[in-house]
This record gives sequence, C-alpha cells and structure tokens, in this order.
Amino acid sequence: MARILIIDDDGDVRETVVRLLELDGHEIAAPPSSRDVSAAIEAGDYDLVVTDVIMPEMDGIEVVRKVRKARPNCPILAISGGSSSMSSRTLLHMVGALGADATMKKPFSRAELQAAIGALLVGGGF
Amino acid sequence: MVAGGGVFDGSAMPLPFRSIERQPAVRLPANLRILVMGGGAGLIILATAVAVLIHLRLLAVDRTDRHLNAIATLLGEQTARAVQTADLVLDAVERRVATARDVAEAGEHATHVFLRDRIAGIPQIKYAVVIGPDGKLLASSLSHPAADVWFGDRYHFTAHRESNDAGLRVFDIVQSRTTGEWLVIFGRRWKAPDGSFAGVLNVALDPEYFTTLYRGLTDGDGSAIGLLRADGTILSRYPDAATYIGRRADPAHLRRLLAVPPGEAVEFTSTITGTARHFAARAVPGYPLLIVASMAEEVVLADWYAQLALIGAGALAAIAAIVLLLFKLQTSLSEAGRILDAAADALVLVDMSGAIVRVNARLEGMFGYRGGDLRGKPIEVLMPQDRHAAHRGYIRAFAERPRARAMGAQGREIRAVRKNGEVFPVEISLNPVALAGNAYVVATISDITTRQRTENQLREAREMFAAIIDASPMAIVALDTSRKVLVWNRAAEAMSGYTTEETVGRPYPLVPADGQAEFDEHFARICAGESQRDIEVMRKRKDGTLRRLKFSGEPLYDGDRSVRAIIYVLDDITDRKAIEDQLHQAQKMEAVGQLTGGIAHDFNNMLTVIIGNAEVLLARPNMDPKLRPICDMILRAAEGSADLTNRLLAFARRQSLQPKRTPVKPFIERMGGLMHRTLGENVEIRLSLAADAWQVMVDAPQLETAILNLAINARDAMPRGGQLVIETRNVSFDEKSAPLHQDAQAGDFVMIAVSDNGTGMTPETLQRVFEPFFTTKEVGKGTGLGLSMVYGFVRQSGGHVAIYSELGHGTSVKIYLPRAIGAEGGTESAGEADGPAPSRGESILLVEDERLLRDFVESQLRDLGYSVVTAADGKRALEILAGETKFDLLFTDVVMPGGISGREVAERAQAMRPDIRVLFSSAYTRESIAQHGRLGSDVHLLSKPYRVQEMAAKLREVLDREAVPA
Repeated sequence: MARILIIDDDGDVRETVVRLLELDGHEIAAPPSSRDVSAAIEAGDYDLVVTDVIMPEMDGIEVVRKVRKARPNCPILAISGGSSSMSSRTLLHMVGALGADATMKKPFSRAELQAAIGALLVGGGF
Repeated sequence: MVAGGGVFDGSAMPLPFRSIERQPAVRLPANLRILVMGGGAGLIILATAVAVLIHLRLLAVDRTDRHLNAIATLLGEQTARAVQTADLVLDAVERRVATARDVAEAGEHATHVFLRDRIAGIPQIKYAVVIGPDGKLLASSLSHPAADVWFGDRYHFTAHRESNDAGLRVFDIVQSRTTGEWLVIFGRRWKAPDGSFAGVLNVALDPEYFTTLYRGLTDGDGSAIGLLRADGTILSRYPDAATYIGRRADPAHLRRLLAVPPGEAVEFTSTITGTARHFAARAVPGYPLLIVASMAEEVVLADWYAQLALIGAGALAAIAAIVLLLFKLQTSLSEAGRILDAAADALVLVDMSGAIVRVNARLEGMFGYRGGDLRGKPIEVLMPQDRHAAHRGYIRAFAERPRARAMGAQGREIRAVRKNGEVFPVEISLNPVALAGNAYVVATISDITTRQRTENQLREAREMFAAIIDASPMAIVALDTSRKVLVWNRAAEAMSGYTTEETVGRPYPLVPADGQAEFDEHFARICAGESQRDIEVMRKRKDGTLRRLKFSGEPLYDGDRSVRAIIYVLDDITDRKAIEDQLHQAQKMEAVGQLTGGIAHDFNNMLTVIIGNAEVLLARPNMDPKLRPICDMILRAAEGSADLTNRLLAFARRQSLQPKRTPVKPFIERMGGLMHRTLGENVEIRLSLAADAWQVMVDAPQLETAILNLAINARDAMPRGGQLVIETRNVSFDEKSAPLHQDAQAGDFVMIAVSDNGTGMTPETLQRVFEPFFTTKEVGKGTGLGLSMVYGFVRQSGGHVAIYSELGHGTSVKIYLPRAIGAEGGTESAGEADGPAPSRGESILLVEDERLLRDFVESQLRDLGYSVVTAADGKRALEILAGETKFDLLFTDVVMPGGISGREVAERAQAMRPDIRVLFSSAYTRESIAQHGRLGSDVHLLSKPYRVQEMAAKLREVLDREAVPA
C-alpha cells in the first residue's frame, strides 16, 4: 500500500478518487485548498501524486514542478477532462512532457485507475 | 490720315473713336471744337447775309439813283420848257419896249396891255413887269398905272444893273412885298438902244407851278425835288416848299453834286434838311438852274431795312439752329465716345492695308498702349510674331470678300500680344464698314483669358469628375428618367460584363425578368426624390449569371428641382456574401466548439464522480445484490455520456486525433463490408475510386466513423432504397479558386464524395446541416451530431467539407482531406519516423498567454535545442524585445489578452529588428484571421492544436527561408 496525495480543485472528484483508492487500501491525503496542497507537497509525506491539470489557483504543471522539487523521484499521475481550448489528450500530453509520469483522461473506470497507479508504483515508487 | 479718308479727320468730325491722326495734331477740346465749328458756320451765314444785304442795299441805292436821275432829267426838261415859255414872253416884252422912245412911253397904258395880253394863258407866269433904270416899276401886267414899287434893292434888279451882259438871265426868289407870296423872278436886262442900262424886264413865275409839276411826278415815292439857282439858292421845292425856299445849299455839296456824272447820284447829309439823303442833279438846259432830286436815306433803304431785319433774323436763327445742332451732336458724339470707351470690348478700326486708324480706350487699356501710340501702326503689332505673315494674307482675303464674321477658323484659339509682350487669348469679330467711300474693318476684341481659364477649370473639373467616376472601385451608373443609361463607369463594365458603348443611350440591361417589379418600385421611389440605401437585389450579368448586388440610388436634380436622372452605386456582394456566410458559419462553429470544450471539461469531472462512486458502491463487500444492476445502469449511462462528450469534442475539433499517413483507395475498399451491414439491402453501394489517389494524413478510425455517418445519413434520405456512390479523386485548389469553394484552402486534396439519390434538402436546411444538434430526423432517431462531427473532424484534419443538395435529387457531401506531405509509401508518419527537426542553436521569443501551453512549448523548444525566452502577453514581449537579447524568431499567439495582439508585437519586432522571423500560432483558421485583418495572407501560421513534429518542421521552414527582400 502506498501513501497517495490527491490534488483536484473539484471536491467531488477529489472525494471520489479518495474513495476508489481507499478501497484498495491506500493511505490518502486530499488537501482541499491550494495552500494546503503546497504544504502537503513540501512535507513530502507521500509515495505517489495524482493531480488534475486545469486548476484555477495552482495548475498541474506547478504541482509537477513542486513535487519534483520536494520529491524528485516521486511518480506523478496527471488526470484531465480537457479544457475549453484543449482536449484532455493534448493537455495530458503536455503535462507528460513537462514531467508527469503517467496520464489518464477523465472519466476513467476503477480498473483504469488501478492499472495506472499499479504501473507507477511498480515502475518507480519504491 | 488715310488717303481720301476725310471723314476721319478729327477736326472735321468728332468720331466716337480716340483720334490718332497721322499729322501732329494740336487737339482742341471737343467743346472748343464745336464752338469753332459753330462760329465758322455762323460767320459764313453772317457773311452771306451781309453780302446779300450789301447787295440788296446797293440795289436799293442804285434803284434810287436811277430813279432820282430819271426824275431830275424829266423835271429838268419840264422846267426848261416852263422857263423857255417865260423867256419867250420876255423876248416879246423886250421887243416891245425896244420900240419905246423913252421910259415914259414904256410906262404907257399900251405897255400894260401888252404885258397883260402877253402872259394871258400862261399859268406859270404870275405877272410880267418892266422896271426902270432907277429901280422903279414902269409897267406891269397887273395894273395901269403901275404900282409905285421900287425894286432898286432887289437882286434880280441889281444883278442886271451891275452886269453889262445883255444875255444875262437872272432868277430870284422873292416874297411879294404886296401879297407876301413867294415868287420866282426871271428877268433879263432892258438894253437901251445905245446899249446902256435901261432897266429890267421880269416875269414872276409861280413856285406853286413847279411844286405842282414836281408833285405830280414824285408824289408817293418819298423823293424830294428842288429847283435851285446855279448858286444853290432854292427856288422851289416839293415837298415842304415853304420851309426850304430861299435857303441856299452848301456850296461844297453843290460842287460834289455837280461833279457826279450823269446817271449817278451822291449821298450826303444835307445841310438844309440835316438828314442823310441821296441826291441826283440836272442842269436846266439853257438856264442857270438845277433840278435836284433827292431822297432821304431812310426812304431809300426802307425796304432794305425790312430785308435786313428779315435776313438778319433768319441768319441768327440759322446760326442758333446750327449751334444747337452742333451742341446736340457734340453731346451725343461725346456720349457715344464715352460709351465706346467704356465698352468691355476693345474696338479697333483698321483700313484695308492693315493700318490702325482708331482704337477705343478699352483697347489701349487691354493692350497696354497710351493715347496715340497705335496710330498708323500695322494691326499686327497686336498679334504674336508667328501670326504676322499669315495675317497679311487674311487681310487680303477679307478685303476681297468683306463680311461680318468672327476672326479665325472654328475652334482655333486666337492670341493677342500686349505691349509688354504678354500673350493672351482673345475673341475677335470683324465687321466691314464703308466710310466716305473707303472700306475699313471694325474689329471687336474680347479678352477671354478669364473665360478661358474658367472654361479650362470647368473642363478639367469635368474631366476629373469623369475620371473619378471612372476610377471608382464601385460601379457607378446613371440613368435618365426613361431608364436609358447615361453613365456606365469602368467598375460597372467589370461588374456587369457590358461595356460603356453597349449601354450608354440604351435601356438599363441588368434587371432579370423576375426582378422587374422590384426594379420598377425602387426606380419610382428614387424618381420621387427618395434615396435608396444599401438595398440587396439580384441582377443579371451579360453572360447571364445572376449576381447579388447591393445598390444605393439617389436622384439627380436639374435647375428647377425636378429629377433629371438617377444615379446608382452598385456593389457586387455575391462573393463577399458567400464569404461572410462562411465566416459567420465558422465563427458559430468556433463558438460552439469553445462552449462544447468548456462543457466537456466539467462534464468529464462529473462523469468521473458518477463512474467512480458507482464503482465504489459496487466494490463494497456488504453491497446489497439488488443494488448491483442499478450501479451497472449508472455506469452504462455514464459511459454513454462519455461517448457523447467525445462526439461533441470531435465536432468542436478538440478530440484527440492520431493522424497517420493513409492511402484512401484501400481504406475505403476495406469499409465495404461494414457499410453493407450498416446500410442494408435496399441501398446499392457503388464505389468510384481513383487509382492514383494521394495518401492523406488522417486519423483513420475517425475517418471511418465520418464516412459511416455520411452513409447512414444517405440511407435515411433514401427510405425506399437507392444508390449510394462513394467517389474519390485528387483535387488541387489554387489561391483564386479556393475561397469560392466554401471552406476550401489552396493546396492538394483528396476528395471523398458520398452521394445519394434520396430526398435531398431545401436550401434552408442546407444552411444549417453542420450545426450541432440540428437534425431533420424524428426525435430519437439521431443526435444531430453526425454531420457536425464530420465537419469538426475534417476541419481538425486540415481539410474541409462541401455539401450539395437539391430537393428531390439527392445530396452529395464532399470531404476534402489534405494530401500527405513527403514521400508516398509507408503508412506511418514520416515525421514521427524521422523525429522532429532539431534547432541549429537559434534563439526564440515565445509569446503565449495560456500558461500550460507556454510551459509545454517552451520545454519542447528547449528539447529541440533552441534557446527560449517566454512572455505571457504582448506588453511583456515588447519589453523583452527592447532589451539586449537578440532573437532569430518570434513565435507568438495571434489573439492575446492585454490589448496588444500578436500582429502588433510582430510589427514592432520587425521594426526594431528587420531580420527577425515571425511564426504565428492560433486556434483560429488562417482564413478567419486573414479576413479579420489580423494577419496578412502571406504570413506563417501554425494552427492550434499542433503536434511537436509540425511545430519543429514549421520552425525550420521559417528559419531556413531565404531572407525576404524588404
């Protein structure tokens, strides 16, 4: 089991992901505000980060940078449902290029989430 | 002075021209001239009158003289006869007394009787007497004895006593001492036989006798007759004998009178009457007597005085009339002169040798000469040098056939030259005039400099207006009120296909048959004074094609405010309208895409929550089994929603495409089976696939979906079955043909056409078929996203879609996909195989407002080896450009917040660094940007979204281009 930091500005999404991952026994942190997010990232107390890309205060790119600074080798999974100007695929492609280890478009099934998390944890979490 | 041209001698007549006589003229003022002339005429008349009067006077005097002479002659003879009679008596008396022996005897009664008898019957003799030597009366015819009267003191006695001349005849005038009456005594010496003085023999003549005699001859003619003794003593006179008898004439006068030759008279002032008189004298033959006929001057000249008064008055009247006439003449001539001098036109009188005779003041002013300068000069001095020779010929020609006409040939400009050499345009009219038998020309010269300048300005203005109208990019057409064309400019020619020659003067040719009523209405409104603005109508070109025109119409008024013509400004908006429609459509699609993308983001979050929580529920170990199907249903609906979202994104061109090099022909052939299954047996599928069709870069599964969508639409349009044709063909559009072809861009394309022979669509439906959620199908039979998805997919793939449909004749949808760049062959992207084109160490300024994209592109550029500086907006970009760092390329978004667009950044950058290259990126299509004027059509543009390979290739293309010459 791993300690996973969930970052999404949409509370419902955040809570849903928390529930899904808790089903698999992971230890989850899901800070509600961007300030809490920054603190949690800097604390470094996590094995994996799941982050949304388009967020009003701190977006996925910034999350990736901060995580890389705090925990250079920590795997990051970026998730996105797209934006008004770019498809989720484009966004995720760019986030991937900017340092996310894996990407996944919304909506996703539990199985897809489990596969992505599993791959990251196996690939380099530890 | 013109030979023989006396009329033009200024001294003779003040003509209304400024005089320029050839002789040096001391010119009198006009008034003085008139005075001199008037005086001259008066003198002539006066002199004539005087001459006439003198002549008349001479005549009168002559007549008088002759009259007086005649009277004098006649009376001289008469008087002589009377005196001779008396003398005969005296002869008898002398003989009687000679016989007497002594004095006593002489005094006898017989003597008395003798005397008495002797004078009886002689009326002029009053009495006859014999006087003794002592002076005593001896005998008298009157009585006997004789009265005792003594005559010793009387002249008629003493003269004889003192003279020894026996032949002496003495006349005396005496007043009778007895009766007091006047008597003319005529006597002779009584000579004694011894010859001594014996006494005197006298007869007394009655002066009345003579008076009566004279009166009978002269009465009424005003003359006076005097009988004078030789010494001048007046013996008798008529008239006024009593006054003058006995008086004596001035001896000097008497001498003068006697010196006058016979037949003539003399005039002097009589000392006796004291008045001027004319005298003629005759001696009485044989006696010392004179007959003097005289006439008072006033009588002589009485008639002449009347004539003098008459003629003098006539002359004065004539002189007054002449003076008056001359004054009137002078006044009218001087007025005429002033009028001519004041005339706006210059006047010059020229003789037939071409010499100037006269000019008016206006001419001198016009040509810059002063009074008299031009006198006698050839008329050519007023002409430019180059006209002189020709003009001599014209003068000769004119002299041969003088007639009033304008100078110069029609349309030829006549120039004149001023004294200072200035040449100016004139108009000259020539009028022949004969004066005093000589031919002259009056030339009337108008300076038309101002008029010509005005005319030139007018003509230039007219030409300029015509040129402006002709140069107008807008078609300008003017019609008269009968709808005939007046003006048809160049733009109208280009727009209509009709040339000006084909239209002007003919009926307006553009109205199509079904547009006549509309045209009539607009035409009538404009004719009624109403302006028509921006009205869209359909008009027919010469080649028969219908064009959509926008026109404005205005009435043109003439002077009396009635409509003279109407003017149309026409604009062919057919193409613009089509482009506007397309742009409008593109903008609508773009907006819908933005909206869809935004919704999709939130929708995906919600679907994430729905799906996730459904799965959380399903994962619960103590889950009520009856709830499991419910969760499954939730999951299916969520997945359906996710699918719908994807389709929306596809239309919004925000789906994730994975284009690969795809050969079209085999691709479509492979779809055959799928299509048969989908469309069913009622639809016959025909393929018409070009063997040489190019490969296209396309996301193959999406293309398959698109074609399938089109096939399904075709099937639905053919409810009773029909034919579906799928055709492929290579198509190339050039820059000119592309814009007319709906969304087309220039380039090589592979066209895939899906056509049916079904129900077809109305134009209204056709307009909206690409709009999302627009459907003609029954509710539930379609999402309305089919064609929208096709449209979005093809546009996102760099192609375009055209649709043709006619109600009842089926529909044809043509997909144009861009030809794959690079070598034909492999099915994988060449770019991906080769990897992105790397940098050569160039530096790039990246301007992008969207942070994620900016960071991403920056990282990609660095990976490619470029050195990158980023800016989030135009303002920041300009600050960086103004700094030290030099950039090879500006890579900027076109549309950015903050007021400074990418285009402005590019312009400022190129102003600062002319060699900097520019690459734009934009989510908008090239055309829509170009049509909004944001970019020129020749700029480099990378359309979002783009792949890293595209970006790398485009960067190299822009950087490696030959420097564009400025």
